Amino acid sequence: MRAIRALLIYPPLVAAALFFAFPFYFMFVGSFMDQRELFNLYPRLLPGRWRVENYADLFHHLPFARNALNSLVVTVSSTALTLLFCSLSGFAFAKYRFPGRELLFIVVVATIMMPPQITLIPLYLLMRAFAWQNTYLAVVVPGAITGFGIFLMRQYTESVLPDELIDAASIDGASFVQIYSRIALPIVVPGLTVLGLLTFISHWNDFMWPLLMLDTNQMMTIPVALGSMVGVAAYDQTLYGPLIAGLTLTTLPLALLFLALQRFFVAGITSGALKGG
Amino acid sequence: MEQPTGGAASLRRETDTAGRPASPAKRLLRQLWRFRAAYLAILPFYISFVVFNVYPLVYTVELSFHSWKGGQDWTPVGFENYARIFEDGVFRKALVNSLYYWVGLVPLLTAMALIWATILNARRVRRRGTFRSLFFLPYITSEVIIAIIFLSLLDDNFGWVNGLLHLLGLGSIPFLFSTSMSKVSVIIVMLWRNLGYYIIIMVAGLQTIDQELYEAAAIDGATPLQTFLRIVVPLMRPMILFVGVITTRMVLGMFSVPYMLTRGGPEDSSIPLTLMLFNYAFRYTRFGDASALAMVVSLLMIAIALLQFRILHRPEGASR
Repeated sequence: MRAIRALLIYPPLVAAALFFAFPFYFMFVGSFMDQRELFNLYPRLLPGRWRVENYADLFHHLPFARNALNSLVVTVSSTALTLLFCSLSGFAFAKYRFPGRELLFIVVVATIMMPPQITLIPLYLLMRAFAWQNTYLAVVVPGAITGFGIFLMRQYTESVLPDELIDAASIDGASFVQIYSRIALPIVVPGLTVLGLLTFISHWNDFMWPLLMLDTNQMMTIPVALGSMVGVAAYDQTLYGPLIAGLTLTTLPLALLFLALQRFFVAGITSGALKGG
Repeated sequence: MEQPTGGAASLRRETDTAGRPASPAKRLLRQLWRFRAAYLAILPFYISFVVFNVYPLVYTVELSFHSWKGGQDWTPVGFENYARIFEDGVFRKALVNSLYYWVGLVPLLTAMALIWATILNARRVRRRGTFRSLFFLPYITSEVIIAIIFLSLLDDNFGWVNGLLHLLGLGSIPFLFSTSMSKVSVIIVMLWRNLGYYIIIMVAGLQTIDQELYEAAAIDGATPLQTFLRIVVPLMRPMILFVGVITTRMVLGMFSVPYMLTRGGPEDSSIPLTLMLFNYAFRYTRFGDASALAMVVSLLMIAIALLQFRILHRPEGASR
């Protein structure tokens, strides 16, 4: 019985695991292949010769180090701003009964429901009017404070921070900022971790908005830069070897970091989804 | 000097000051002043809300009723933009495609996520944590990167997937450059990237189900399938609704994967509404038409979300 059950569960699991792993394998070995090996009806699972020069070529075709720096600057500053403002607002909403609180919070929830398409065109025109196009500001500022982040942090702060702690501190004469930074912040770190991870992932991978805003090679983030290497629907115009080297260089550090921290990462999102959902 | 206070203390303080009579306006002002730090803390969000949400929203509504060629003048045109959009062949294709994606992706993602999550939450499945992480890996990878990988793997003439089909003695499939397969390819890639994330969310939901329920079912001799249908599905209804709503948003906002994979082609066979919006606004600079399109997409999104709530949101215990 047990054996039959194992037979029913593990083969599909392993097949699915292979399905998810194979494209990563292809990306890694593909980054050392030439065009003819990458596009071949008789694929070979390893390159005939490991072409390290694909990586050198990548840096010829793109200012890839600069692109990586851009991605890092944009992602880190967006995430930092999100964490600061959302934890502050979440704390205020969770623990202070100020007049208008409920109504103001409905606005927060409403922005979560708002379809992003509806603001796209005016936002684009606004960034041009601000002369922010092709600057970091255009990709960082509009998405820096999210309703989702405030919602998540309010839920989390409410569930982990006892009122008594705040009352005691305020009777001792601690100010709002002191209570936030010395009492609330250390307690909500797990919630911030989840929000930070989700924010980091979404900004690191963001494509449409940076594509619209960043138009010189020097300012592009990694996804926009790599996307710009793909010719329009004709594989023979695209330098796939160097391109796939770029994909590998971008994915490998994140994937290794993720696999090293996997338990923490997935568990964090699990608990965060619980609080948020 | 009064400090803003929290919770119970603030309530106590309020009754203290209410001891002496004050006009309501004055009391409100005092309240506002007392909580000035909290208001200051939430202020940045509302500034961002007005500048980046309210203003653009009003602008889109206005622009959708105007003709604008990029200069200074806006000419009011009533519903002309909407009429033009509805008569547009590309819009009909994009609408059908988006509904196709929705029908293809949302139920599939939700069902597969729930089934895999149930398996990966079962105590007797070994190394389930490793499998969960492996399934999640595509989600931390950029959609652009994933689309480029599949662009090579699924190439019509020389891609490895067609190589495999060739090896098995089957004919090759024109995944990307045929009107019949382009949408299917987009769905495969979207599924590959996103399934792991929704598995994790479903696992989170499953962990709120009382373990005793499973044990009771096992004692009553329920098969795993019965347990799944009678216990897991009904109790997961709120989570299924949640995933249904967020995947709907994802599918109707889909841009990067079709943009990179097919550019919406061939012959607009895989263009989704958001890519059409992007093209009309930023390639053809037809801002009026694009705004009308943005309105239609948003209303569609809201309508589908309401429908999902209507179907799935029943009071607890009402379902069997």
